[in-house]
Amino acid sequence: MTMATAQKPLLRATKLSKIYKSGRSLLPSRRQQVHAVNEVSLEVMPGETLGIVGESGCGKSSLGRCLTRLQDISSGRLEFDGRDITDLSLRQIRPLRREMQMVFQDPAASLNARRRVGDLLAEPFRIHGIGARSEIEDRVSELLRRVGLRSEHALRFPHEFSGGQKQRIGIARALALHPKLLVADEPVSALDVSIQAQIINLLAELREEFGLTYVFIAHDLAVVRQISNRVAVMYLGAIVEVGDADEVFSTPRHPYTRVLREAMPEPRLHAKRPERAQVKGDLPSPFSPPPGCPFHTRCAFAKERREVQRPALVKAADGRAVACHYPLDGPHPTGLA
Amino acid sequence: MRFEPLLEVKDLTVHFRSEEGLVEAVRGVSFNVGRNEILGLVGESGSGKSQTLLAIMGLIDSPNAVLSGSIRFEGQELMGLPRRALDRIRGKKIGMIFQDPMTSLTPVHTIGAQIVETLRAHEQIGRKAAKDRAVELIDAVGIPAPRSVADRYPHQLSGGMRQRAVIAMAMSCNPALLLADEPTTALDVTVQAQILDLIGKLREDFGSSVILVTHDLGVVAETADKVNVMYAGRIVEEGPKEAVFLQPRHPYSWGLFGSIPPFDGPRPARLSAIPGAPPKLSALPKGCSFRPRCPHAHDACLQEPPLAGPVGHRSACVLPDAAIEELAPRQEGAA
Repeated sequence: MTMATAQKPLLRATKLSKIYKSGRSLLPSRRQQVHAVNEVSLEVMPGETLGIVGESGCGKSSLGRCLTRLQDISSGRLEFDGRDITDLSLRQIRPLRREMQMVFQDPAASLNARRRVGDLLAEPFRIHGIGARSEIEDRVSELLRRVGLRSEHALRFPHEFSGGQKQRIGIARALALHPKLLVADEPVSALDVSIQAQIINLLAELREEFGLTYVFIAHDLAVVRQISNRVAVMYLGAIVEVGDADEVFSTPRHPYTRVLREAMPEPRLHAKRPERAQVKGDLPSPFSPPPGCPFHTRCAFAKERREVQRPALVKAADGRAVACHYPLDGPHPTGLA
Repeated sequence: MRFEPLLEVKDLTVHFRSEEGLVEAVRGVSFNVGRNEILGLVGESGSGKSQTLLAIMGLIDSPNAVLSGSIRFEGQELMGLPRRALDRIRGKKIGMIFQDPMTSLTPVHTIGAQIVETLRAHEQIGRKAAKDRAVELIDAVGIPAPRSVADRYPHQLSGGMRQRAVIAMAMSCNPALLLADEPTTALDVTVQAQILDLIGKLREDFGSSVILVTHDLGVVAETADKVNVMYAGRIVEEGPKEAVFLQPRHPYSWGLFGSIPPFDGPRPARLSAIPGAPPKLSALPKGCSFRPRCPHAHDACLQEPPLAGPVGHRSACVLPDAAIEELAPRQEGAA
């Protein structure tokens, strides 16, 4: 994808962190902290789709909620469209909601079960005081058609729709006010594969048509690769690798990216399946992440340095960035296994 | 000489009476599982794959369920067997694993105690010997520090470790058949890979057969020998894994494979998704139930097509072989 050099990122996070405190103990000193998001820096250019992958507990959902300011940010800086929005109050953030929207895994949870779909889709217009009643009705019909539903669906209730249709409604609602940025958190992972493909196609079409910018969060590498221009891989709250969607998985440079890629079961029998490098053990507890490189406890290539120093995310000349003391050069580095 | 299959399911039908009418969850499903064989049952939600498995286990006990057909295990008919007779088989000769390990584990006893209980329910074995055997089993499923894990409670283990513990319990009496319903769906991919390797290893170490129910074609590709593709309560395609994956015959299978984005190589501009949604099981369309979503549907599809085709690789579609050959999507890089 070619990007004019003068273009400014639509979204920029600088050393963004989100810390949760467990409220179990009255003594502040005994309270545990989790760095759900640990000094994440990223940029998303207008029109671009940045995929974020990782396993459960890696902080990808927390990051998504921070990027749309659905959650307060513990430290770091967040800019949207050139404006610092790190510390905006709820009231200040509200007008911005028109421009940044989210789509969730479970659309049913974000659709009020007692209201008709037409009402649900009209709500964004009413909240932001846009359009007269008749005009809103037209726009709701238009929205429904655009996401592959029919205008008469406006009269139905959410429970009358299948999972895929509910997600279409969730997308319609997010797009109602023509946002610039859409952050989608596992938007297809609850859907059956045949429906999943429909929704991925729909998101790609809408991106084209409305010039949208996406942050697409998911655990399925193939799904993320399909829709993204660039992909960031997260592990224990940190980004360990970023790069072009095709290259990150075909020539991973971080050992964790490689482990993740090789662990994905390959449905194409004729595809050359990379030999699976066994990853040791389970994810460490996020309450007590290992010192140094967060992956060193499970890494096949870990050497002493990993335990002492936390590797920084370093960008190479080709635009790929990796946070590893001993990055891999290709999918099958020799002499390392 | 022909060997009798370990499990023979014939014309299995599972219906539920509901307010919306009769829900036809499984409609005349027949298949065999041989010894030392891994069968993958794939399909999307509502395809009947899980109900088929539950029926084999005798775990459908809703008063509104109507079951018919035959399920023969080691030559013995399981259908209609009284509960006590079934209990002597379940847990001993047939082991089970579910998606959520907590379906099989109780939070109030240690892992070791639960395996000991299973062992002692089915075998004449002393407490001490059972405990030793439990530790051995925990070790065999790749849990580190098995002796100390035996004394821990489920909540003290990670999801992957719990699923391993359930597998240890399911394998405790050396079952001839292991039934696994989405055993890795709730797990992260790196852990899933470990569990899949483990299931493959069980066949080698214990000589067990496995029925693996999953929605994930990748999981089937990595573990199964044979595959049954299910849609709206019927098997629409069955055959050896290589045949079904490399030369799928049913348009639904084509749609499924086309819906999965590739990991490598060029990315298609659009995925060839299947239009529409699966039918309601209480209001199935006339004839082939895939007909409303099928791009190749024609008048002949108003009759329910039987499973037919070359020996060992059959599909329930009226398309003639020549048309299948012509219409089947070419797979990139197929050998």
